[in-house]
Amino acid sequence: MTRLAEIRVAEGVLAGARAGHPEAQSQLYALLAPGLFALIHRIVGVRAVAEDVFQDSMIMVFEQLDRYRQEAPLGAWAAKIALSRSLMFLRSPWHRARLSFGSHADAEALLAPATLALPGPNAECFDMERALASLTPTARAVVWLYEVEGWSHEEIARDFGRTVSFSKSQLARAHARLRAWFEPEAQSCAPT
Amino acid sequence: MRTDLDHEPDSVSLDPQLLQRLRDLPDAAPPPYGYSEFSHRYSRRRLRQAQRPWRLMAAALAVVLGGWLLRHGLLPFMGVDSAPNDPQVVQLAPPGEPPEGQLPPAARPPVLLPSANAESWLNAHPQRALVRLPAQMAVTELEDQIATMDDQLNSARLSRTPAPQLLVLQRDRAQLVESLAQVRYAQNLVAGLP
Repeated sequence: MTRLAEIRVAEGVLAGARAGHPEAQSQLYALLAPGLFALIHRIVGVRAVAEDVFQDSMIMVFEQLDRYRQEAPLGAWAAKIALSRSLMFLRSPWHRARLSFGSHADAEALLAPATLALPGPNAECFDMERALASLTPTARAVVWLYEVEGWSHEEIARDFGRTVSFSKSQLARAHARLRAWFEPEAQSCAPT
Repeated sequence: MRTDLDHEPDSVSLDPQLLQRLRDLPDAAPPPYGYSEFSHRYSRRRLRQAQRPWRLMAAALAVVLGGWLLRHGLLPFMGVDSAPNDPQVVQLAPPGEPPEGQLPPAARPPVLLPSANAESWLNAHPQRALVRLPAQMAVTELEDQIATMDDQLNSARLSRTPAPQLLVLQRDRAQLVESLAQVRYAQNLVAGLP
């Protein structure tokens, strides 16, 4: 889980935000917004879309604050909302159509074996960001949810509305893609 | 949430070093806007949501009103008529007599109405036509035609037109005047005036 789960919110701030006090809501926003936006941007990939999803997520956080029962850290609860909204976007027909007809039409082709053989960025040996960006949005979301957020395949499959096999195959292909991305780097960075 | 025991076997798992890099990626980024802008957007959205039922109701009302206007207000004057094809002439009762047409149709000479749409509509619904048709329009048309006829008569008299042609013009003018009188009689009936 990202550091969102480590955010501590004072009881007074939480109560004030629930009561609709702007000062408390402002403090809560300042605490949650950076982590939530980074998480959403990581999942959806496109900044403009991330801003829309972020706004929806923050509104939902404030609107559902009364339902938060403090069984989990507030950051984790808010992250769950943000991830749910992000996955909802990835599942949306609009997004699928955009992948099919837009500039990312060949996104799936990135995982083809021929493309996997492409050399990685030697000058950016540690550029995990670029490696992640080379994944399809779905594969990127799956690998992030599984490896960083700690979700199980069952949870990923449920939130994507797909099967566990879908989650496992997406993860395996994403791992293969990431390994292929960094293999040339390992060779070129290794001391001779 | 997944436990460590659930982790995938080594054949498909990521290299621990890569995995650590992945987990070390920054998990915070400056949000696109601050709380004030967010609050502004949030209040705008709540306002839109609050107005949504009223907007839907207004749109429905506009559709109903537009449909009603199209059906009852504009169609009779746009050449769209649900009545069957009617003859070009109608029989109207003269002023001072009941409009039910107690006189036989042949007793009165046929009178051409100024508007073909109004004519067919009146012919299909003689009683209701007198009630619904904006009579002032017909009155204006008739008055215009009478004025035109007066001009033609003056010109004919000045140019010493033969008498039979003058008689035709005078007869046409008389028919127009008679029609005008009938329309005004109908207006009086609708208004409840004697």
